Amino acid sequence: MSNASNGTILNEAEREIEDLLPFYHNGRISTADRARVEAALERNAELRRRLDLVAEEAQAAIVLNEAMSGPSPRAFDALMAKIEAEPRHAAHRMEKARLGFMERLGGLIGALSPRRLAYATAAAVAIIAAQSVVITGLVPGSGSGAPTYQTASAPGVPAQADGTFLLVSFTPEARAGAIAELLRGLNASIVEGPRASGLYRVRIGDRTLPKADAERILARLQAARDIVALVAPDQ
Amino acid sequence: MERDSDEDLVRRIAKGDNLAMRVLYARHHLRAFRFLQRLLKDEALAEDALSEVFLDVWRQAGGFEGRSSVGTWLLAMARNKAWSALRKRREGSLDEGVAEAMEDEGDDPEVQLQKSDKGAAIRACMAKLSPEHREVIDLVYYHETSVEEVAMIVQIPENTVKTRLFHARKKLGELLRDNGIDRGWP
Repeated sequence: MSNASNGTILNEAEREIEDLLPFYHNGRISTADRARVEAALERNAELRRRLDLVAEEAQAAIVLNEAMSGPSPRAFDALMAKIEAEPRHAAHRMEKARLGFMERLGGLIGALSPRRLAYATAAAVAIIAAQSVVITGLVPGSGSGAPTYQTASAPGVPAQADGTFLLVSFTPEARAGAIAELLRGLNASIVEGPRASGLYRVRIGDRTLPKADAERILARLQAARDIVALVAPDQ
Repeated sequence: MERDSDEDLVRRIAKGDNLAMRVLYARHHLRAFRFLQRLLKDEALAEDALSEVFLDVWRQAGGFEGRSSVGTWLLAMARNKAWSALRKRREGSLDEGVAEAMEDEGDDPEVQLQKSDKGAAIRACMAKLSPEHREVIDLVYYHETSVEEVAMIVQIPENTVKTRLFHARKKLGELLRDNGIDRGWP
């Protein structure tokens, strides 16, 4: 039995429903339990209010997690070194890695579930709102009117079509100066963004770069972990 | 390869397919790493544990019976690695365990500063929950696991999953209230 400070007390049956609310919210609940929850929500305002609390908590958990960057390449390299040293698969030791960074990272974005993506989107918008204002200033020609592209704060303006592009999100702590310096060092520029997912489209070449060159740039961006949260190819 | 299911990849890994291993890593490493980092609160330790998790995948793929999803299997392994590392750390430093327990209590300047932003305050208090409470909160809210999956990952009965989540949420509400944010529950 739990009671709210406003005096609302849930009976035992309602408490059972309350325990199901987090799973109703994350969508991982049986059809029968879903029906029970929905029937209870329809008739009980306090349960509806508590579902709102669950939603608040879920959003906070998602923002907390999404704000964390990924592991350094060191973790993957250490793993691969250990695998290569494994005796069980000695016959495969000579198999050369056929995937580069591009393929390794390609599945990241697609791995997000629609629900998490939706929250991550909301979270990203909240976190990068201030940052994007600053980053807007990094877009070549912003304010000059000369180029044909702008940030997402100017939707509808077509980004340049030619070139090689990556999708990049920056850490919440990244300073505009550091981002600018990083991009300048790679002769790269932001041409679009932030998108709803918090990603910026970054041009790393005026033409289609050889795969090895693109991977080298991607690796350098990925190595800048204090600045770059995620980088992936933009096919 | 991109369209292979996780289960297909694990079957290929069991045969020593290095490429399948890389694809599985690409799909799951970020979620596993975040889960580890939230539990361990230490990036280097989390990276070490992540490598160990996927090394176990390489070694144990042949024994994967598909009784859970690959994602659940990975989180269960990650959880075991994290708790093993936490135990070692606690054994190494009793003071740290005490310090962690103390984190839960009291008025927190960080939370105080966040009062104007309820979401930020909830996040600040969430970060102060015990590892037991953090893991169940993350598993349900971020990793979107079911009661049955949490039970499998945390190795507790299904009813205990609901009870633990309830207490984690209750603790969160108390931390918020202690810092001046009353959500009307608990």
